[in-house]
Amino acid sequence: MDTTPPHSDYGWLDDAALATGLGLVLLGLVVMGVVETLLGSAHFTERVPGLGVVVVHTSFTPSLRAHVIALGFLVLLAWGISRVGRTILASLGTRP
Amino acid sequence: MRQQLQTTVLGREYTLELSGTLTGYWLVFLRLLVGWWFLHEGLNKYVAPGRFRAGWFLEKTGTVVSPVLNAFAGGATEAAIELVVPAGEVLIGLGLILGVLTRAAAFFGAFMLFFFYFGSEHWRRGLVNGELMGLVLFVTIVVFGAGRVWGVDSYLEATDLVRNRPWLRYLLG
Repeated sequence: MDTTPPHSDYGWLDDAALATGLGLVLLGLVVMGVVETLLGSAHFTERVPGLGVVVVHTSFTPSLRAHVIALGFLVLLAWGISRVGRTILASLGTRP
Repeated sequence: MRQQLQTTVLGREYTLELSGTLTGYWLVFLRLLVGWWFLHEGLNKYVAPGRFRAGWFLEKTGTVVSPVLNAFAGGATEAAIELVVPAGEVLIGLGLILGVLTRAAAFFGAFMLFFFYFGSEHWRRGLVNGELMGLVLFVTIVVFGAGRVWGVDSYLEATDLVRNRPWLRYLLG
């Protein structure tokens, strides 16, 4: 009978995945939010040859921030799946 | 009872001091609160006049999750989503309230909230909104479990089936 707690073997891969995933979520929400707050969400129009008048967004667009946050959550999801997978493989390996 | 929890975060060692009693009370409170939220949402879709429709959501364009949502729009897949969403909300709510398969229930709650949050088209309510808070609450329950406190998972975890398969604890409290 294997009674090893499933959380006892956190290695560099776990650290890297957690730091990257949580870091991306914080980057999209907090860091970009601070920059947006300090710089303001300014827009101006500019005439571009061949395109006409375009709106230039000088700060981060909500879509860009959302993609960064989503990427962070996806990294965390991939890490979670890998944890379960590694635990299943480890339990298969220890079974007689 | 206070407990010292030694851990390493990015190579540095830390000691967390946790009150087991306070943690237990807070986790079961969180579980019941979030569980009732989803159970209520699911039941409401069954009792509210008019059938629950998912088309408006699945047909959204320009969101982070639009490519996935659009793939399910229309036909049998849309009908399946309209069945799965209310049923899923009820099951997630019951799972959290009763503490059955707590982590699995919270995972699927986080999965649904991921789509609700990233399904926003214009972010008119900002990037920090109710859906994000819901998503974070579900992830918190995935991390801490909480099904062992006043939950059926405490009995399930004592069975030989779970003792012999440690990975099953990822689905339980």
